[in-house]
Amino acid sequence: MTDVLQTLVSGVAVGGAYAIVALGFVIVFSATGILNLAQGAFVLVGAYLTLQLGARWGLPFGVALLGSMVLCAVLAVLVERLLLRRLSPRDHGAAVLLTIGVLFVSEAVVESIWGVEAQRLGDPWGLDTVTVLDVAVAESDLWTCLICGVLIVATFLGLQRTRAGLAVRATASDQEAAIAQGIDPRMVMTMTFAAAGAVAAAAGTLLSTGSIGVSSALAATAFSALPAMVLGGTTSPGGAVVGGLLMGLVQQFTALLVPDVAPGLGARFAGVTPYLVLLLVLLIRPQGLFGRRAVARF
Amino acid sequence: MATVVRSDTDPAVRPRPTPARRSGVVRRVLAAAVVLVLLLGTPLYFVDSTLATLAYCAVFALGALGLTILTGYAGQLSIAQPFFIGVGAYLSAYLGVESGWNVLALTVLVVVAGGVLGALAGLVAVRLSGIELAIVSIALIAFGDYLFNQWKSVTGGENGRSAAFSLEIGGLDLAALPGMTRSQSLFVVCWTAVLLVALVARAIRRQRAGRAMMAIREHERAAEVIGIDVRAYKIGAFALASAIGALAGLLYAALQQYITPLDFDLNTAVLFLAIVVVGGVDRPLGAVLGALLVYGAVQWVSSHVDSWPFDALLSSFQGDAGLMPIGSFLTFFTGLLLIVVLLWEPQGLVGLGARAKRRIASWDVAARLRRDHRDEETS
Repeated sequence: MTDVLQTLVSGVAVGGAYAIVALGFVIVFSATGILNLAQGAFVLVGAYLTLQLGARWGLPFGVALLGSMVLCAVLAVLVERLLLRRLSPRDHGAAVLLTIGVLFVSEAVVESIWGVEAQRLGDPWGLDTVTVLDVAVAESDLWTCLICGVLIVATFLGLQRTRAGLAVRATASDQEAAIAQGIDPRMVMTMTFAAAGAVAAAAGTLLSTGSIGVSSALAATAFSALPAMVLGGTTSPGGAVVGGLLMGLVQQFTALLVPDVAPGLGARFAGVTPYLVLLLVLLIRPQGLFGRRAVARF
Repeated sequence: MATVVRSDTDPAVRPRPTPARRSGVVRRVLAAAVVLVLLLGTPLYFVDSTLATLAYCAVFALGALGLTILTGYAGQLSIAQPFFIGVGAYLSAYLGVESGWNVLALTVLVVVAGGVLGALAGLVAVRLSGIELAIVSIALIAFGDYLFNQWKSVTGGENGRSAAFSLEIGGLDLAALPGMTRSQSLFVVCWTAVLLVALVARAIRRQRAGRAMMAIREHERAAEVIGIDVRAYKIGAFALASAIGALAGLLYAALQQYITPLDFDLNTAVLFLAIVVVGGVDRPLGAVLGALLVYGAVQWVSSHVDSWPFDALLSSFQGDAGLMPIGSFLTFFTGLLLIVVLLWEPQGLVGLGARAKRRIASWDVAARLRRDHRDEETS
C-alpha cells in the first residue's frame, strides 16, 4: 500500500512532466505541422539554465525556474526564426531532421559547458519527504505535480481564453481560413514555439529535481514524451495531458512491479514501456485516444 | 532561317549528337572500368588502417542505401535503420561464433530475417502517417537498445559480445583473399557488397517499382488513384531497407569482431540521417558519398585529436584543455551537418552536383547559341 501510494505520486509527477512536454509537441504540431524534436533540447538546456541561474548564481529557485523558462522561450523563437523559417513550409520531413540537428548540437554544447556527469540541481526540496496518510512521499514529487498542474491549466486558459490562443486554434483547425481572417501564420508559429520552449524548460527542471539530478540523459526524456503525444492523438492538447499522465504512471508502476513479478525483464524494461503501450494503441486505434482520423483531400 | 520545321529524321537539320547521346555505351564501360580500378586498386595504394576506415565507410554506405530506398524513393522517414543493422550484427555474431554457421548461410539468413522484420515494421507503418512513423521508428531504436542490453545470453549485455566468426566459403576465406591482408580483403568484400546493392538500388529507381515508390512519396492519394498498391510498395520498401540494413550489420560485425549495444543507438541513427542528408537522400550515389564524407571526417578528426587545431578544440580526457569533450564531438558534428546541409543544399552533394551540371549545361547552350548566331551572320 505504501509502495502503491508512493508510486502513484511519482507516476503523476513524471507523467505531469511528460504531459507538458507532449503539450508543447502537440501545440507546435497542430499549428505548424512540424514535429519539433528540438523540444528535447529545451528540456535539457532549461534544466541546466535553472542550475546555472539558481545553484551557481544564487538566485532563488522560483526565479531561476522562471528565468530559464523565459530564456528557453527566446531560444525556441530563435531556432524557429533563424533556422526553421528558412525551410520550405511544406517540407515537414526536412523540418524534423533540422530539429534533430538542433537537439544534437545543443546536447554537445551542454556537455561542453556543464560537463557530462550528473549534478545536483540545487532545488529547495532535495531529498525531503512529507507524510501523507502515513506514507512518506518525496516533497519534490508533490511540487512537480503542483507546478505541472498550474502550467497545464495556464496553457489551456491561454489557448481557450486569449486572442493569441484563438489564433493558434484557428490556425490548427484551418490555416487558410485563419489567414483569411487576418491571422498571421508566422506570428502563430513564433508563439507556439515560445510556449513550447517555456514549458519544456519547466519540464526539464522538474524532471531533475529531488534525487535524480541534471545530466545530458534528459534529452532522451523528450523522446519518452513522444509516445504520450501519439497516444493522446497528435493534434489534441487534452489527449497529450492524458497520454503523458498515463505514460508516467505505466512507467513508474512497471518499475515497481518488474523486480517482483518478472525480474527477468530487468531494470531497463520500465524505460521501454511507453513505447510498448504506444505500439498497442497504434495497432488498435491509429489516430490515438482523442485524435480524429484525418480526412485527406486532394 | 525563318520557319524551317526541325525534324530529327532530316539529316540537314539533325541536331549535333550531344555528349549524352553519343556515349551511352562508352560511358557505361568507362564507369565500370573506373569502379573496378577503384575497387581493386585502392587496397594496393593505402595502408591497412586507412583501408579499415574505408571498409567501415562501406558498411555505413550500405546501411544508408537502405534509407535511400525507404526514405529517398518511398518518402518514409525512418530513424530505425540501426535497429535492423543491430539485429543483423547480433544474429550473425551469435550463430557464427556459437554455432559456427557458414558465412554464406549466415548472409542468406540475416537478409531474410531483416526482410521479415522490416515487413512486420512496415505492416505497422502503413497504418501511420509521416510523423507517427518517425516516432514509431524512434521507439524501435529504444526497443533495440533494451533488447541488446537485456538479452544477455545472446548479446552479452552492455559489455557486448565477440563477433569473430569465420568468413570462409568452401575454402575461400573472405577475410584473406589470395595475396591480400585482412584489411585489403575486407575492403574489397565490403565495397563489392556496396557496389552490388547500389546497382540494385539504381535499377529499382529506373523500373516500375522505383517509379511507384516515388509516386507514393510525391502524393500518396494520387498514387493510389492511378492504381499503385501503396500498401504493398510501402511494406516492400521497409522489407528491402531492413534486409540491406541487416546485411550491413553482418559486415559490421565481421569488420569489428566485437559488438556492443552502443553501436546501434540513437547517435548511430542520427549519423545515418546525416549521411543520407549530406550525400543526397534519393540517389544511391548520395549514400556512398555521404558515408565516405561523414564517417571519413569523423574518423579523421578522432585520429587527429592531439594535433592542431583539434588539440585546442577537443578534450580527449578529463581535465584536458579544449572546448568540447571528444565524446560529444560526434553528436555535435552530426547535428551541425544536418542543420547546415538542410539550410544550404537540402538535396545534398548529389543535388549540388546536379546544380553544377545544369549550370555548365547552360553555359554550353549559351555558347552554342552564340556560335549559331555567328554562323548565320557569316553565311
